[in-house]
Amino acid sequence: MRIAEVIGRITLSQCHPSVRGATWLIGVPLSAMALQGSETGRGEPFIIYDELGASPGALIAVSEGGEAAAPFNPNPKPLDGYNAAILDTVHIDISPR
Amino acid sequence: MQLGTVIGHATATVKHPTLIGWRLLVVQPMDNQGAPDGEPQIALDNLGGGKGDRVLVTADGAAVREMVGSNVTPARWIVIGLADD
Amino acid sequence: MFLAKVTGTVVATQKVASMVGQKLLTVDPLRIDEKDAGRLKPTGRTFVVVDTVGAGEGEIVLIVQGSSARYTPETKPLPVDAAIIGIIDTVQVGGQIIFKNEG
Repeated sequence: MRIAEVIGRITLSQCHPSVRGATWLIGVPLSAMALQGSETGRGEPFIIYDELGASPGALIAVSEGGEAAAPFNPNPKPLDGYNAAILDTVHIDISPR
Repeated sequence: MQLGTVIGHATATVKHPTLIGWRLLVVQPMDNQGAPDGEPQIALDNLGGGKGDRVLVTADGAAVREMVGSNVTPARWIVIGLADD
Repeated sequence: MFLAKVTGTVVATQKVASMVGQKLLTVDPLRIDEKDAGRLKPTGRTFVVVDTVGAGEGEIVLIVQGSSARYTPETKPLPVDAAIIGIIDTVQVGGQIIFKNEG
């Protein structure tokens, strides 16, 4: 699960029935540099399915690929990005031991 | 499986129920030169990995589902070993 | 998932049996430009996707890719790796609406 910062949302006017009523976030995947506050190392924003209620500004853990659909087994939904956790704290320390 | 370095940890109150009880490590995957390879990943850990540790992580879906004990977990990476150095 | 603009349709008379009757569209993936207030920028690339929602040319759509594209009853038997699962109404970045479907 990569760490992403929520920067926005999208809404849909029509959708596949399996994702009706869903909430969708726009998230930016963060590198180690970006996690320490750098403006560099912010990746390409992508769309994430949310059922935890994350708000813009939050850091979240995002499941990608097939794992994003796993929470709905045995009837997986057509999802490749899923908010698995809203992170309260992310502590990064890459100084030498 | 991949080798990574623990560069931090995270906490989460609101999360998928299958993640409850696991430590959330921030693991930077490394290439064969020991340089960062892609973005850091949140990996589940119950071996006690900590800052600076080199850890062995797997993304094998079947292994993760078995260790987590659930077929509906969104987890992908899990720590399966701590390197001896 | 990512956003894309529908740019056309693909007609292929000869195709594998499972694809008969499927609507295929070409799309141009859109980048959400964080450095420019989140504006949607065409990437100039082209993808072929299967449509599950009745999208039309010019519309901005939500696309799922990889094995997850087959996780609908309609796409389950298909040899596809990208599917449209929604038509975008609004895109909001940094508290501003940067796209609104006026159609």
